[in-house]
Amino acid sequence: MNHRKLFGGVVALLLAAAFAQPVSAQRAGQWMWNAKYSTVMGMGDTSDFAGGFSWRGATFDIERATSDNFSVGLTVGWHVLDEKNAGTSFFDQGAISGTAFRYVNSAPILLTGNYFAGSRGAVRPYIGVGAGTYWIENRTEAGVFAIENSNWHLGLMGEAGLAIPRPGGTSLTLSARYNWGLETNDTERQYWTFSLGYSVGN
Amino acid sequence: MGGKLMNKRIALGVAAAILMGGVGACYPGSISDIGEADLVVTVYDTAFNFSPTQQTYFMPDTIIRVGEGDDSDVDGSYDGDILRKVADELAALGYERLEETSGEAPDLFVVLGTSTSTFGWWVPGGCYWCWYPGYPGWGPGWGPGYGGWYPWYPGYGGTYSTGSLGILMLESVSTGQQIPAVWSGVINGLLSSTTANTAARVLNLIEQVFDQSPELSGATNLPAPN
Repeated sequence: MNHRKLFGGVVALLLAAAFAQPVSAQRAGQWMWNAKYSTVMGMGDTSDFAGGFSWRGATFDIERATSDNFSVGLTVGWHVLDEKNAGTSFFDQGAISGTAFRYVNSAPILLTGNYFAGSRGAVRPYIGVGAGTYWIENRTEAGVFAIENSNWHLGLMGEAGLAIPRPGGTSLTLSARYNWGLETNDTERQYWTFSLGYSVGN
Repeated sequence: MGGKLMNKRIALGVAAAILMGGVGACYPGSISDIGEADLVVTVYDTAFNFSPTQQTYFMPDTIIRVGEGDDSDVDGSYDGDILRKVADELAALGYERLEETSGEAPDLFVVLGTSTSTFGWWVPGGCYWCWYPGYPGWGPGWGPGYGGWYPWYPGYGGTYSTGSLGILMLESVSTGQQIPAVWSGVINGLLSSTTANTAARVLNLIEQVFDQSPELSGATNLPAPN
């Protein structure tokens, strides 16, 4: 499927979820906040560019329940990948050697929709999708020189997680999220985030 | 109500802690040693036939100061060591050095220059160094060559200036012609204030210049671009 069509399909799905009439109104209208510590794992070209794993990431979600099982919301984040490598690279007319540092800084801003299985008060598995934009900066530092390339990407996200209830309407969340910044200016970025969160308003 | 307010405060606290501790910096892991700021770049004329055992060269006993900055910015106390190291490396490859008094015409000239200018160094007869630092052929190990490189100040403690040492090999041609450069090695990095460290570092980097230049030996089986 064309990436743009897929993006449009996810946006349409989110809008439909946002305006759907709740089957059960027990939880409808309730706001939830979730602050997450995220680790980051680059995939494909992203991993080739700036390494496979990073401990540096943060994600914030705000959601509004449309029923006991559905919610729509917004997620923002800041995810960092970095890699250092030293060596010699040969090209047609010579060679260059030294130490290179490469970084990917990604800031997703996505509309989200989530489905929570089970009932309130229990441990609830959930899945979610998101669509929106990723601002992604790619930076290479070598010696006393640096190069940057930043783009706004249309982006898609898929997520699976677990919400573990705690007293006082809070919960801990564990989640895995696949982030996909669609190709822009010949650059595409894909990575996983694995997050531990603290949620209020469940 | 009070409990909910407390939970929101906890959430905000968690959020702030995550932001400060989880991410910390956009560019973690910057250089931890001054040597990590060094770059060694070599480039050569692929049409030129390097034949070390059959080619002689002349190298002046001085290192020229070029580019911006004051001469006093460049420490000249290592010039002798640097010139000796370059001569040793060329001798190891088989090139014969001619003295000024030899009366013979050399096949090649080797000229050394230093500059405190970040952007490389200037040589007579053209802008041989103008391609740097945006050369598009850098291998995948260095990432795609999009945009333009620009100088920046690495995250390393202390106050340092940047500088370059260039070694240029020129073909000996008739008077009046533009002198073609057939090979160039440039070291670019931070100028250290630690005397002993600087000397050892520069000599190691000169060795690297020749290590990554198999073309100077006349070899035809050269490393593939990577």
